[in-house]
Amino acid sequence: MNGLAARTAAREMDRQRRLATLQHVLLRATVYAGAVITALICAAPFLWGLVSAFADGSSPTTEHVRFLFHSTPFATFVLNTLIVGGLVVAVTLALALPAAYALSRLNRAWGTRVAVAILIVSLVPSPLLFLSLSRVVATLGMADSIWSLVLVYPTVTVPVSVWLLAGFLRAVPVDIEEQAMVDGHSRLGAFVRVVAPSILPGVAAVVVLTFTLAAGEFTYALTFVWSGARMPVSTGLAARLGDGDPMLWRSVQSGAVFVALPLALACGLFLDRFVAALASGSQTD
Amino acid sequence: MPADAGQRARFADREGFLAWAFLLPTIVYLTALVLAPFGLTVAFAFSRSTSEAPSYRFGGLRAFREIFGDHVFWRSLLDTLALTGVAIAAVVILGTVVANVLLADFRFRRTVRALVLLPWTTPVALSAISWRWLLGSPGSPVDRLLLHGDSPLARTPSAAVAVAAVQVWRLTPLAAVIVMAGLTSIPRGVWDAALLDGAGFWRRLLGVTIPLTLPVTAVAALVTAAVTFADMGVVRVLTGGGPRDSTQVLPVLAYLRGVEGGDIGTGAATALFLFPLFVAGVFVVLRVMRRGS
Amino acid sequence: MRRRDETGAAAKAVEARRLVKVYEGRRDRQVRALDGVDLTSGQGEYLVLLGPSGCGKTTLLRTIAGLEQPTEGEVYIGGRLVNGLPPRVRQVAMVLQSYALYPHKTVRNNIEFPLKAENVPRHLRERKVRWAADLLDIADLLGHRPRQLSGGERQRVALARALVREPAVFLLDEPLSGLDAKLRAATRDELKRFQRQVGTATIYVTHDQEEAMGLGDRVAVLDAGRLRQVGTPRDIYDEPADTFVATFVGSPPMNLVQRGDRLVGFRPEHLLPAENVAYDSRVTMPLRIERMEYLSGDRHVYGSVTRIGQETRVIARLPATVITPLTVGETHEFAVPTDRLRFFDAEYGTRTAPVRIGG
Ligand SMILES: Nc1ncnc2c1ncn2[C@@H]1O[C@H](COP(=O)(O)OP(=O)(O)OP(=O)(O)O)[C@@H](O)[C@H]1O
Ligand SMILES: [Mg+2]
Repeated sequence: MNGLAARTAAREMDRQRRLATLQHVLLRATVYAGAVITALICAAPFLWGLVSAFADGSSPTTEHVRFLFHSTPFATFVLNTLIVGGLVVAVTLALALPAAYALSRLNRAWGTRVAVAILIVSLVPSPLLFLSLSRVVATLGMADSIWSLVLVYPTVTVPVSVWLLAGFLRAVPVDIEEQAMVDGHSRLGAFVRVVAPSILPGVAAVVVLTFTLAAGEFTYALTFVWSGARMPVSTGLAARLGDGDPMLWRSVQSGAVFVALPLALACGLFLDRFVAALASGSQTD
Repeated sequence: MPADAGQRARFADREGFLAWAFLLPTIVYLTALVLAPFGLTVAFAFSRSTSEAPSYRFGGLRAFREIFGDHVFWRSLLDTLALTGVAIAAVVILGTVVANVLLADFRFRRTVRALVLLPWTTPVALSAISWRWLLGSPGSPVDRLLLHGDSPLARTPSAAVAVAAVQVWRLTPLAAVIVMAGLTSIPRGVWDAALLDGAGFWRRLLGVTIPLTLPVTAVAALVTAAVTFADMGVVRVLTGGGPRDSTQVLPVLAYLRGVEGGDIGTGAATALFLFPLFVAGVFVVLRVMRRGS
Repeated sequence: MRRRDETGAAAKAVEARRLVKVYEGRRDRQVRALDGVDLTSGQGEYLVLLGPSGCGKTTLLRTIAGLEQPTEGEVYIGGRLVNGLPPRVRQVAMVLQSYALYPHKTVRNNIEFPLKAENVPRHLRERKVRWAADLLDIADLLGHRPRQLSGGERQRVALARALVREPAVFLLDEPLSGLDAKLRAATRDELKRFQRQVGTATIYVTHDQEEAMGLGDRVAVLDAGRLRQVGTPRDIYDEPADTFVATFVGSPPMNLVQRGDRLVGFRPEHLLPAENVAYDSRVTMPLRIERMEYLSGDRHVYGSVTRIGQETRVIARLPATVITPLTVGETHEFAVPTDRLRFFDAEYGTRTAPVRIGG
């Protein structure tokens, strides 16, 4: 009787063990399948773009790429985007860093209220603004120039950056700042010597994100800038080259890939930081 | 002792002042370039201003009467709502799946992570161009799959599906990053405890995982909604609103009427219909934040 | 093969055989958190795992619970090989070092959760929750959420969540570390009584040696992923297997004096002024007194001894009954009963046979 019970139990154990192993194997297989499928789908249009840009029928060619750089304003578009992106990054940091510092160290009630207000501003959809902003831009004499974008893009990037930077700053314990002040530094000195170095990676992440947002913005770029050579890459490729013969299309595909890859790689480097900043932001509120 | 207290109080005051001084530039900037223009848009909606005569002339409800009589407007309103709804549902579900995959440990994790970010980091117009090429060009894999039929972008249901799919494709990585943040901020021990307590897969999912990730999922849904209903890149580049205005959305329509058509009043009135969606979003944010604290 | 193992291990609640756990750290650095651990805990036994921070105590518990898979070796629970089985099937209740309460559930729902997972009917669940809450004095907190609790309260909730179950073994990872001294002593008593009553095998991790010696039927001393000694508290204290155990257990620790290729060890309370030690079987040594402390009636004498080996700093603990007058700076003749001397290999630290010391 007892022996029978023991044998049944042993069989049950074996069954459970097989089940656990099966589950484990299935889980691993799912993870790998998920990863491969996700990566493929995410890269799909660019893969086809690359194939069609570098292959003519079956033979490889660089003709389309050469055409892109020599006979289209692609290089100018990229340059415009770089200028706009760089300036927007500078403006954004100048505004967002002090604001984030203030928010993370301000007394809680007010800090939270202002932070929420800034978050809400970041949700205001750009279609609600572009008509009036184009009047503003025209009044300031910035119509049809990249300066209009430098002026307006920080409305998109500053709220996001304030949030991320405040997250990074909250992760720096106030203690180490106070320790530095006890050790004889002023508040500003403590910030520069102790706080700034420890959030430097976070600042780098925000720089990359801001640049990415500025490079990808479409609505304002379409509305404010309409002369060919002044457009950034986001509208330039679409507007000037988007229609037309297949030859041009192939060149445009390679252009898209040249823009997409560096941005994705740069953001990929900072992925863990974004995640950490978002996590710390969601924890303290 | 009293002198000491007085000094400390003054120091605290100064610190408060410093904080406001730090915040002021941002507040001024955002007021000038977000809040004020928003007011201006509302004013424009009740005007008869055009791009030829941009100075303000009050027009009462003229613009609204005009757009209400326009079937393309109603079409766009419905499309915008449907697109946003579909995008939220699909992006949240797929984003959660992708987040779990990216957090798992496997080989080539870095490569996959960089590839997964592609849709989100690429300028929207460029990825829309690439999709248009993949879906619409003769000889592309999709074209071959469809046996050289019409481009899916030129037919009615498939064009709308394509727009929604590209929005979902573009925003899923962003949602995944947000959900990843939510998942990593849950202390590891909690999963262990659930395993030890003998909870099976479903009980862990319904009793622990979902309740704990709900706030962050709400944020992901909100961001998706905010980006989707405000976006004009995908529709403009992929389908141009066609075929026969079947994929038109409010932002693009506002651009067509207000900038290309030159009727600022109608454009502003059209755009203003995004405002209720924005308010709904704000409401959700406040709810989530109150829950969190 | 397996069949024989199973019948042979029937009286054992938990058995670990040659357990090795290697963590892959960053950049191919490996951590051997467990390095060949053989450990058996009997049915109904209260086994305490004692060791310094980072020695692998938590890793051992997690491996037994099934939260980690061992790199090598086997784990048996109730005589059955459980390698590869998930925690659910192993029937273990564990209190994690980090408490790991579900932040979104009330205290009541936290404690109830494992019962729900076992489909215990509602009225039984309520009774058990009440009982555990009363036992651990958290009845007022049942409606609270974890973030409203203090560290000690959280720990008691975590303990309650484990105690309401009827597992094959309790695994408790420093379950009392966050409590104040008084509450800790009280909870310790409750815990011990509870365990006696239900008779469930318990493995209890601590780095507090008083707790270990007071609670354990047996104590296992772990260091750097290896078991140094397993035995009754008395064995551990009186017959330490090596110099690590000798110095880790006991406060102040055992004195060790090098003599040739041996270390001579004796506990501070056995080092007494010579006139207090029976004349016929003792080893004497001169002690130069450097410092004295009076601690709750005892005198702690710090100084250095010579003659029995190299000059070494030692500590003597004289009970209040020893009234010999001593002065700092003087040298006094001290002695240890011969049977209180322990000998260790000077190089490896392992226990060796006694050697004769004249005088
Ligand atoms: N997940 C992990 N990855 C890598 N190394 C780990 C991991 N967990 C533990 N270790 C390492 O294994 C060793 C043993 O850790 P363990 O947590 O078991 O120690 P412990 O005895 O419980 O210490 P404490 O008393 O401080 O809790 C440590 O050196 C630790 O750094
Ligand atoms: Mg531990």
